Amino acid sequence: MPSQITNYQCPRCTGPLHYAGSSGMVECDYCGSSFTVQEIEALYADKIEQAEQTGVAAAQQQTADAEADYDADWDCDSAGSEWGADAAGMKQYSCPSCGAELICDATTAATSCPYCGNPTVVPAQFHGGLKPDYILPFKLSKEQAVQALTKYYKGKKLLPKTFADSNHIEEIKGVYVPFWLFNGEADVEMNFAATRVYTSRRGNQRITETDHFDLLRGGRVSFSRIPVDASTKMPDSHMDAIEPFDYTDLKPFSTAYLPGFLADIYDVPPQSCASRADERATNTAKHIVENTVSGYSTCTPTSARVRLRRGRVDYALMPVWMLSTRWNGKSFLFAMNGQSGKLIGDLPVSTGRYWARFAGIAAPIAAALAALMFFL
Amino acid sequence: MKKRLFCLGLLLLLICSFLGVTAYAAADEEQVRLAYVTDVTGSISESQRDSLSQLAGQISEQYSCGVYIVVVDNYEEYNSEGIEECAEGIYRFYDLGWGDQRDGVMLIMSMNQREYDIAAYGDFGNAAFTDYGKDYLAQSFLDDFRRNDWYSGFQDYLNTAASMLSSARQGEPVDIVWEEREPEGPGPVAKLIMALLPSSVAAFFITNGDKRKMKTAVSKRTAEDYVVPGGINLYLHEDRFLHRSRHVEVIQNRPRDSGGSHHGGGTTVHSSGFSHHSGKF
Repeated sequence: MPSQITNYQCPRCTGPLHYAGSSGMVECDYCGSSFTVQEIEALYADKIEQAEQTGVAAAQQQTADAEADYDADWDCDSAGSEWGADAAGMKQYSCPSCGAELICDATTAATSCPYCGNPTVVPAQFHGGLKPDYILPFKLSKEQAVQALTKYYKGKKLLPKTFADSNHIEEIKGVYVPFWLFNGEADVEMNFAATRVYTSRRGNQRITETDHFDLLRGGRVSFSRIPVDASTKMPDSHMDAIEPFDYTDLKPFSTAYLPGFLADIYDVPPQSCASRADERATNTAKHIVENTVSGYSTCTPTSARVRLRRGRVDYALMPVWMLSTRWNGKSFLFAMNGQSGKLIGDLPVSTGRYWARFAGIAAPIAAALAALMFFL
Repeated sequence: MKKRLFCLGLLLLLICSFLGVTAYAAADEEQVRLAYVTDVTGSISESQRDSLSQLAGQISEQYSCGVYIVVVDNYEEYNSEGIEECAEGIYRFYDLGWGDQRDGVMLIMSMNQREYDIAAYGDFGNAAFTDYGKDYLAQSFLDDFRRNDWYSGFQDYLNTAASMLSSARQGEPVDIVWEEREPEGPGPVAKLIMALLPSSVAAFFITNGDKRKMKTAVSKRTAEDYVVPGGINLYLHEDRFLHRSRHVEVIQNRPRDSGGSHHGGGTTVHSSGFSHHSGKF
């Protein structure tokens, strides 16, 4: 099928040409010039070749551009901006103990480090790093965070009694934790080895027939703002565990949200934590595609090809209530999502309670079984 | 099939009449009857057949349960579905058995395939020849048949059947419970271990579940929460059939309609009313 229509024009006057059956020549309606068919074909063959070369080159360039979109690095150039005039109303502190660098507005005073609890944080020259693009304001109060922690202790059968009883929260701080938000797409193609099994009976024979299939599934999954925390002081596992964040409340950054809270300055550049975003996008895309396989008795992935189209990275601050406590000389750090109220943190396990509970479960079951075996 | 069976009966009747054999399963003159012992292959001599027929008749009469022997060259000439179906066809066609329930047991042998089937029928027939009992009965003659000693095998079959019928009439049919002693239970130490082990495993899983709840700070490896609504475009979906594999498993004495299993006690009676035990000799 032709991909284009050629309107033959006179090489002398560019007037329209037509084939004159009587003369067997191609003639110009305007200037009266005439050409043999071979002359016109030769002339236009060159033109078509040139056009095709131009078209192929353009298509190749387009494909190359599209291919270049895949597996390119994250676009971090637009993440954050300069503080500009906002810097005037900001203060900066640094913790000599853990090295945390914290900022707050001029009306807020940092009395201790929210990460290590060090009571001596030192005012420092404000540089502030980059100004965030977005901020997710706190929705929950300090009191709600304390209540959440008390509730968190309940029902934990292995928690040492003294931990809950004598537990005094040493520090509770509302901290805006820096996050990089990664936007992008994942193209995934997966092969699966699948089977369908049919069983029938004929006479005294049980016949099992297994149909074997090779399945191919592919799709594109778009992600918006996969959060990866940008602070080395904040354990990644803590920040992952308090997810998800609801971005409908996300606001363009304003220092107006800062009074009463500290904000951590990022110390991990987006390039350094991009691998975590890659991993999460890749795994999710694979899970989604894998879940599209249905109607088979068994299904095993045999290969997977994932290509990431890495997009823009944003810089945002997320609200986290940080509660720290000490027990038996050890620090325990809890984090609560300041938007959703999800609270997480590792608790100590009482060895005595562990074995008491073990015995409490095992003994009655063993007694019941023994009674059955000995007396029935 | 009926025609063939009828021909078999006529042929046997003629042979028996010619030879003066008088032992028939029933004396009903209106219908062709099958003798207690029918051998169309000539595996046993006439005198041996007479002797066996007489013995089978006595046993059948004594216990009110027909005991039959049928020997054919190729059972597929009568019923190609299987030797069990062939046995059922012959039993029904010749209206074998004793009393209203047509109680009886029949040993059919197909010499070409060296296959045999013991088919029992009727309430008493099935009760007397349990699954285990039929196996027990088969063991009595298989040694002889493997040596091609047909006459001794038939004698053993009839004598063992008589013994089993006697037991059944006394209310104790040969069955696995009657035949085999229950194995001794585990000792006290083993019982204690059997009680402690599952309880410890259960306690381990529950307490470790509790322990896991104490550690909630865990890294995430996926990002389902951040998939754009409507941002999933599945554009590839191909299912390619490669090949079909087939596995055939032979079911030995599989129960069709009733519960119970081979050697599990009792008799597995099929919907046809027959119970079977078949195999090779």
